[in-house]
Amino acid sequence: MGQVWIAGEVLIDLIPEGVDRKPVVGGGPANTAKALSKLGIDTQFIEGISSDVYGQMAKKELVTSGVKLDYVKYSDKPTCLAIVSLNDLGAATYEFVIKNTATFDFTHDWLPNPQTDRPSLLHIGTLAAVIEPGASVLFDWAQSVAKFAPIVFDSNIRPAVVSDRSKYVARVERWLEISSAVKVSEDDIKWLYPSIEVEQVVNDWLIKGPSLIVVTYGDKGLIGNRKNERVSVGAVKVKVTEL
Amino acid sequence: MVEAIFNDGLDNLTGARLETMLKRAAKAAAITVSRVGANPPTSEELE
Repeated sequence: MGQVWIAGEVLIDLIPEGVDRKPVVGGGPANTAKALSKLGIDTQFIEGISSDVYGQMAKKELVTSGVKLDYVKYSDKPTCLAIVSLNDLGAATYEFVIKNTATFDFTHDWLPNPQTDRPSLLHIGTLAAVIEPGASVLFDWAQSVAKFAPIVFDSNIRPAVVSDRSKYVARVERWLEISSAVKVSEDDIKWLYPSIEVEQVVNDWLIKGPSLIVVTYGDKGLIGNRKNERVSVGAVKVKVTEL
Repeated sequence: MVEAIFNDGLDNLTGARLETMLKRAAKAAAITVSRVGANPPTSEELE
């Protein structure tokens, strides 16, 4: 059996709880790593993890889910914090503490060698794929991984980290050229390209490289798009079992 | 999606296989958001 590599951030969401905020381990790539590992897939998480208390929390949560951390770069720099605020309607906005964190400290000297270690697949995202200077390091490295394994790119747009729309578009679009599959939400596409229809963007992206693009439409479901095929499924409703 | 590409190969992920993958993803998402924090389901929970 092969191994999946997941590269990207594990961070701490500080979630409002009364007048206080509660730290919760988050980050799109970390959640993907946990999900895959729980499905029984051999998963390595490639990321910088801090030795601070939040880094310890993150490490514990990943290990508990069975995620392997053999390539992790440990450092004394702090963990990235995402300060979450909820508006009257319950929608979340984020403020990130990013600079000089262990979380986005990607450098060529510690990223694993795909030629010797041969992953079956690399999943890369979400903030780490666009926050510089780490994003360009990851991109260079991912180009070398792409020679050996398909790349799955997960966008997950957070305007709070790159507020300039044209910059964000450029940073996302370069990933399309080396990715085999892409996951993106309808909201992400609408933010990146406010004046273009979602379907048109998907068709444009399919020409740039990926052979499969899955677009999620929140509670309306999701659509898998290939050049000559479009498969749509509705969202699933599950009874809330825990509170 | 990663699970399906890993198991089936991206080139084989068309038609019925693609639909099965999307349904599984939809179910996994629904289970995850029904819980507090990010606590994704196991294979057994997705059956």
